[in-house]
Amino acid sequence: MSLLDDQRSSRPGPRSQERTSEHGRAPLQGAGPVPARTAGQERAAPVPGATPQQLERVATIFEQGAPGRRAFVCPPIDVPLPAGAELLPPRLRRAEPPRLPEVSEPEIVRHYVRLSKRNFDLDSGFYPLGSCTMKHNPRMHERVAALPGHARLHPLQDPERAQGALELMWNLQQALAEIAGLPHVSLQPSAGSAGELAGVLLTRAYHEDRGERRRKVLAPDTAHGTNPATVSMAGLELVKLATNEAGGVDMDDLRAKADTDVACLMLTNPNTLGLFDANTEEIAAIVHGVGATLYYDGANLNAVMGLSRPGDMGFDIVHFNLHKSFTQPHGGGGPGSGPIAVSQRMAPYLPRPLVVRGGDGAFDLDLHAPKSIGRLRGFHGNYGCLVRAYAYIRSLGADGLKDASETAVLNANYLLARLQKRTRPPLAELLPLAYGELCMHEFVLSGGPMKARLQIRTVDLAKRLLDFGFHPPTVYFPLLVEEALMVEPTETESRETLDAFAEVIATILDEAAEDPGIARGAPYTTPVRRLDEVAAAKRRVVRQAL
Amino acid sequence: MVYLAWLGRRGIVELGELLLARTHYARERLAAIAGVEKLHEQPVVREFALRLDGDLAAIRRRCALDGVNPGVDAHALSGRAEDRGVLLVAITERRSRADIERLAEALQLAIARQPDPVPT
Repeated sequence: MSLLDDQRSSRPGPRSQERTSEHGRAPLQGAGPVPARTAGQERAAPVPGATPQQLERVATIFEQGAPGRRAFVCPPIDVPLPAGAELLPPRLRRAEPPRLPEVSEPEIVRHYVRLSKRNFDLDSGFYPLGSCTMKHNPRMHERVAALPGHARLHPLQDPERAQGALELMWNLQQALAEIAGLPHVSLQPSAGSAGELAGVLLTRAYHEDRGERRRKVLAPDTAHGTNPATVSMAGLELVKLATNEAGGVDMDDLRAKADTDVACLMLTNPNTLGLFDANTEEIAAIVHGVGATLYYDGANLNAVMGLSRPGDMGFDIVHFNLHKSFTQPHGGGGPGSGPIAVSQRMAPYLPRPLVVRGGDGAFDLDLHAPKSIGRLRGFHGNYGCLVRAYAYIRSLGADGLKDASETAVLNANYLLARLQKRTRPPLAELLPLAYGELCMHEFVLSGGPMKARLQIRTVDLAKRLLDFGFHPPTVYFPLLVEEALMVEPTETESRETLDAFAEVIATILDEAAEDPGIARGAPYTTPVRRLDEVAAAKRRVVRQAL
Repeated sequence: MVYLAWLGRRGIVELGELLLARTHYARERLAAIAGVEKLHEQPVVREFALRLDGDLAAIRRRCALDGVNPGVDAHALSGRAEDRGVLLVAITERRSRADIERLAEALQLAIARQPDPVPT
């Protein structure tokens, strides 16, 4: 009996969860049929039953160690103290030490490395998460961001003692202004949604400064979910715009809804269907015709860097996701950075401080702005993100940024073609492109026919991809596409990886044609099997007994 | 969480005691300089405020020339009139007694060298 068998026999949990095939076959043991190994992809070897990772009982760091064990050894107190001094009154002292772990440094290292191996990350495999631009983060950027002059700079350092950082920020402002085609930039917002909020608050301030109280914000039904959330946070009302047959804004609906109570139209271009709206100029004319502003959601900027500029299309406000388009390690929720660029008329309302350059060439922080919407956060945003974005822009240059976007679009179209031209199985029939024929940097497939013919849903396909070492694309968004699958490969993936991904999609659908239960029971090789997401949301366990 | 686990249940207390001692010492050491007074006598844990007799901006600039950032101009942070001339000093575990002595010397020199001290 192998060690694995030993472990399995003592832990029946994972096996008890395995489902029975609908076709009356034997219950699936482990990963099911073994697909051909895919080029360039590492994946956990299928094993009978549960994997070692699944069998592993992961103790929290609080459950490890022993009383008195430690990693940190405090230096001795090196200053004289007056005899009998009571530096802190007893009433302010806690009776017991805080309930923190008592572990050695090796235990800490092993624990967190073990946890890290239970995650899927971009350094582990292909991560085609639509509208998230999971591109490779060049390691050079980490070296630059870790330079002591960046990493140890205090945010309250006097401007005259932080000229290097301010120059970097000023240069980044200039670069982002050039990329957006809009002259004024604030680096303060620290996430895409924070950039959106800044933009809508600017719009509100702009209208109020003109004596108007406009209440409505228009957004297409393909908009990112953050758009309506932003509108609510800004105290305004969202009005949805329909999508036309080509996947763009329904112009008749726009004309019907554009009136003088509209403060702004929030548009993502290319939109979340991966399509550039051919009517952008007309949209701008209609929106500006009723005195509203036009907001560019920059989540999909990776499609157009150096190719076209939102400012030239008539947009008044743009937010960037530096953590998407301009690299950054942005898994796990951050940190992010969402600067905004605006037109001249919106500039007085920008968050402060801005980085400015004086006549003597020195850099400073401009705090004077009576019409500013104020600070969006303390200090100056996530400075490390600014450093990495600046390093990216400088290392690629104008031509390199354009190349990056062109390659991102080419990669997406190549993968789309690989999928749509596959006849065995007929992917164009099972997973048709939802709108259009070509795409920009991402595309959206519909899993509706796959569900009808193979009896597996998009979520099943997504979960099964994990067994092959691929992170699933974005699923069930945008909402107007049945069983949506939104794929964004980015420019940093190789042709071999794209080919392998297409092969795996075909493999999964092939095996579903034989036995849909395989995909429905996936994943099999991940640290935990498929979770009950409803229970996870409704019966949350968020407290740890110490 | 990694840092808290590394400090541990006892380490965090010991670190707190070290900061308490160094911060107390630093406040007494700096307040003993002519032209410097404590803002209050309440216990301090890791930072404290001092009122400086003179042009705070000039004093901070002179300290900077000696390679020392003596602290933050509290008025620049709060905007409150009563915070004019108030220096906010923070002592972290990265600042040893030798660093505190160096700060005291730089501050003393900067105050003494003021060309036009503000009359009190």
